Amino acid sequence: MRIIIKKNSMKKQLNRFGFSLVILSAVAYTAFTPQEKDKSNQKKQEQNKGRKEERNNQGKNDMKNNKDERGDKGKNEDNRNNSNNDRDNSYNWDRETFKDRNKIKNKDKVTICHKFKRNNEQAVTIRVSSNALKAHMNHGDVIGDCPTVTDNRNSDIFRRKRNDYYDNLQQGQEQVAYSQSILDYALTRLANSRLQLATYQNNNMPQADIERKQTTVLELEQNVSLLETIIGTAVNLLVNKLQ
Amino acid sequence: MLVLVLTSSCSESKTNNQEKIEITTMDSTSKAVKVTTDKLDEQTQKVEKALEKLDKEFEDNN
Repeated sequence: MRIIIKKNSMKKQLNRFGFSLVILSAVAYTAFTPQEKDKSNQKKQEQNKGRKEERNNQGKNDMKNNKDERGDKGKNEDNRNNSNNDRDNSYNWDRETFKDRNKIKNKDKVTICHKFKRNNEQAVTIRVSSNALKAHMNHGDVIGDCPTVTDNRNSDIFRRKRNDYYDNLQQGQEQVAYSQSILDYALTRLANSRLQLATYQNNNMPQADIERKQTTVLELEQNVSLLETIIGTAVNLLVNKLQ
Repeated sequence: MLVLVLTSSCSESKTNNQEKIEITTMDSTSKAVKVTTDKLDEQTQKVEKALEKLDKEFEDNN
């Protein structure tokens, strides 16, 4: 009889021990294995990263499309007709306007208050070429310095550095727009010169003259190729930074 | 009171640090942009000179 009672009490103790073991392991599982939470965070981070990359690629494609569109429009189109929403006006050169390019390029700089498309991003004071002024005004920028901000969240040094930073980006973008236009013009001239060289060869032009012309074409080809590479680097550096 | 002072001074130092990091990032990007812009300007001028030579060599309209 006693043995039976002892057995029963042992069984009860074992059951209790087993139950508390289950509870303990459940607590330990929730406390030390947050993988599921991490996984969902990781998933969210991956999604955000994907979206970010998508935006960057979109920006690159936009710049590429703008470039392609400019190429398709034809090189003799008047600059004044080119009223797209590019931040910096694109130039289209022909032989006459190319001779006067310095007058067109070196127009005065105008100080503007540049507003961002991004929400809650404080406007910055930058200088823009008067060629690019219209495009900036079209998206809401105003001429003159930005009004002084009353809240003191950022130091004066920070605000000054921020203005310098965006001003540098603007100067970079303007240089890219100008260099790209010269590149487009040079590519057209190269294609035409090659055709003309073939004509000269067929018309039995003296070999020395043809070789001299070939050297000129080759020099332009090499410089154009290098310019293309540097434009690529600059575009990658600047893309989406001043929106 | 002490907690308030501690909290505000901590958040201020956090903002300062954040500002410093942002300034460093902006400075380095600015420098890279400036270097690339200068290179671009220099190379564009070379292309322009090569184009002028081409103009002289190919007098006809091409």
